Amino acid sequence: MASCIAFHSYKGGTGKTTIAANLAALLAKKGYRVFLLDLDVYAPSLQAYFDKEPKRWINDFLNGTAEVGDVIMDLTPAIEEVVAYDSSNTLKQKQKSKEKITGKLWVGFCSSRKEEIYKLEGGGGKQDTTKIQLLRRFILLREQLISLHDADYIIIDTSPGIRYWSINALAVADTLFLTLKMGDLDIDGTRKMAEEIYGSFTKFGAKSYLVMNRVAGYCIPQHISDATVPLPPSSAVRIEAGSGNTASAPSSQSSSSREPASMMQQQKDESNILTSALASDIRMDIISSIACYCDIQFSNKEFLTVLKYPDHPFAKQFELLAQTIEGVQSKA
Amino acid sequence: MQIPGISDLLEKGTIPDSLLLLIGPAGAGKTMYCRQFFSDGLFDGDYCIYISSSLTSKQFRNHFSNVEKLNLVQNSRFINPYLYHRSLDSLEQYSPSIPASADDDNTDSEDDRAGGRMIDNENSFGKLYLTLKDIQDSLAKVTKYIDNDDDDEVDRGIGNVGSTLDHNNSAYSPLLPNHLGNNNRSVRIVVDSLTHLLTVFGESAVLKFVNDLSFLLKEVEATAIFTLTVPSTSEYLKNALSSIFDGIIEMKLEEHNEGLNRSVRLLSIKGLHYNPSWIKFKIIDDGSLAFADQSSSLSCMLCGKSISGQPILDSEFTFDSQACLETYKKLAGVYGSNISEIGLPSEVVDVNFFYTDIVSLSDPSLPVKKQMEKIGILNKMIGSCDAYFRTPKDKKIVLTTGDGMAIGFFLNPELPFQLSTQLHRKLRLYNRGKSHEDEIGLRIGLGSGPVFVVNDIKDNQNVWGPGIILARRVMDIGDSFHILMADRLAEDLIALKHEYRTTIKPIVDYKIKHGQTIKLYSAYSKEFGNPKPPSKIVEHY
Repeated sequence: MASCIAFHSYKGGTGKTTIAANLAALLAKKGYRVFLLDLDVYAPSLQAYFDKEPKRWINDFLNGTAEVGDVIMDLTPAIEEVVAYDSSNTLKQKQKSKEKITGKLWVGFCSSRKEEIYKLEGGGGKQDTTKIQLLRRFILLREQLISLHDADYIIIDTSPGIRYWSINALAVADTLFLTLKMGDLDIDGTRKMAEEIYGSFTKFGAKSYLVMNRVAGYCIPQHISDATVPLPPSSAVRIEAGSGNTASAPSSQSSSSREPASMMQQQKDESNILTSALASDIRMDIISSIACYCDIQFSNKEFLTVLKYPDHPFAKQFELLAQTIEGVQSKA
Repeated sequence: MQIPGISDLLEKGTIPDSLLLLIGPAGAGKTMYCRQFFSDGLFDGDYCIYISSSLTSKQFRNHFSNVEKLNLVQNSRFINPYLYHRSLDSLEQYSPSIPASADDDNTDSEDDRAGGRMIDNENSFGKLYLTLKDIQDSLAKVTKYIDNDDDDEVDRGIGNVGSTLDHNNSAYSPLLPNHLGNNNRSVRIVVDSLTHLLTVFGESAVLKFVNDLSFLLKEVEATAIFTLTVPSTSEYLKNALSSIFDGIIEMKLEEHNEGLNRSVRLLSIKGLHYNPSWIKFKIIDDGSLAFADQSSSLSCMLCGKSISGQPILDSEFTFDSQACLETYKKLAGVYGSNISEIGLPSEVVDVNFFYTDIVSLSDPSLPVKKQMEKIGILNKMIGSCDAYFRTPKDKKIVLTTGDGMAIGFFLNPELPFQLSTQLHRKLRLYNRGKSHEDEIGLRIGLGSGPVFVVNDIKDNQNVWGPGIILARRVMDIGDSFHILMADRLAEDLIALKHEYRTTIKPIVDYKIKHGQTIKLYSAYSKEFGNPKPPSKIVEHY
């Protein structure tokens, strides 16, 4: 049975697209037929991960000018081309050979042209009725990916917040991942959204989970690790290569950095308390906590870490997430 | 001219006489489409020619065993260019390379297969020329544009060769009469398939044949379908052939869990606005094609897909799948319990329908201006009927259907019937003294049942559901001036007033689409209706 997963957040910049793209690639690598859809219609960014220019867009399908086969690109060959590096620590390690992907990955991209965005808002026609036609086509898209293309997983990258297309994307999904970025939590907004929107979906069978992103504990700023050094902005040193869930200061650290490290630990603990309270409050389990990895975060170009650096703790965290999803799916 | 599925392929529902290239993979249904096109033509009284280099006459007859034999004999020709037993003398003007005394017999000689080819170049041109001349001769007998005695214009296109032809390879040539009724008949041609012709005769001969034939067919304003299997044909050849045709119909074949999905679309057509969207179709047991008819089958209220399996019913709505039902509930949860704000149907009402169309309005011999006039007159006449204009706007819904209209009356079951009788009285007066061409013939179907009220894409109020579908199907059974009724409405009326008992009479239990059986009633008196049983009923029983 196909599973439709939507990544959503209250605010933008929480890492939805990164997580969705990496999870999709990993599931394809594990042998599934995966369809990744960019429904972040107001600010689509999925293309950055694949560097492909589609001939037709999801917008064309929604507008009724293209069929489903026209708007999904088979990117399995492209992800097979990704060269994996043997890396657990840095990005400059020995190159591994290419890996055969046993599943399939199709991606549907969304156009960022303002005319196309305007059309999705019902522009060009009586708004309500045009929008319902678009919604019907969107639901048909999911149906056809399942019935005509035998999808195992449909992964949707949605727009943040409570907007027409994010609500629609959540409505068609059976599994909802509410992504939160640590350090930039909007507890009240997230709680309100969860209560008002997610409740309607879970009442009719959808499952919802929290995905914590950029959890503290993997990196600490250099000025904290070495108090004598001036403060180079955005510069960081790695202090641990753990899963990101249970980061702790390594024993080799100098005594001068222990105190700042414990400050970091304290911040992390506080964040954990906050998110646990939120999770309990809105009755969502935390399905994954992904640490803040500066080596990925500040790369010049987006890439699929799970393929390029499969030994990286970020990729390992996705292995766990994929296993959890498979487990949920097998129970369904 | 109608081609199979045209009402689904084109919004307008008709296309001008055209030469159409039908492309698609092997097994997509191209041949079955051609057979349907051919059979429809015979049923419509058109003259039809079937050209195939891979069929025998016997096979041809078997394929059209559903057509009355006399009709097939008198109104069709079958030609297999490969099986010509004909001298190829005097073909120099068609193909200068042909020697004066080419092989006297047919193409099945060993010489024809010399060098690994199925037929040599000279015979290719020659046999296709003979085919062309044969088609020309046949058309000359049934159309006003070509005459055997004066075929200069056509000969300019195909080479002015004074060859007399026998019809040895015609399925029914000995029976073909010299006079086939009027000499201005619609003509349908099937060439199935170009792919096989190309294999047998080679590219240059077939391209010339198709080009020459196209001029001939344009002269007689024929509608023709030529099939081509792609992707096995080269892109160059496909483009070269496409340039000859007025339009392209494309088919596709997809495998899925439950079998094969066949779809067809009008890929291009010169001079017409169209939306080239795929229409699914099935080849049913008797070999005919069934197109997904959005307007007369159950659709998922959420995704709009035509429901092929068991529909899922909930809250009076119909869904294609459990997933659609759940999505609907989720959306209702977010947008509010009354989800009309996003345009989904919020109301189910019981409506009494009057469904009518003008008989033979799509007759190609009827000028478009005349068609428009008739529609305008019908609209005015309906608008002047008491039952219509005395019903408040919010108690009725009016849907135009191109060559007719559907009117739903929300409360009073008598109104559709009253409108029918009032309209017939007006029509009888109007038709008095009119020529056949100017007469307006209507068929009317009445039925009642639940429908969903929705706003369509143009924000017009629209309805769909069992009520309106039933009325349309009932109307489809009738002929000119029939007022036919589905059982529920008829029985309601009969129970309501005694006068209806004398005018609304049961005809037969009739099986409509999807195996549903209804008791069919016909309403008639001296002033309205048609006392004869509908021809479809007569044919069926």
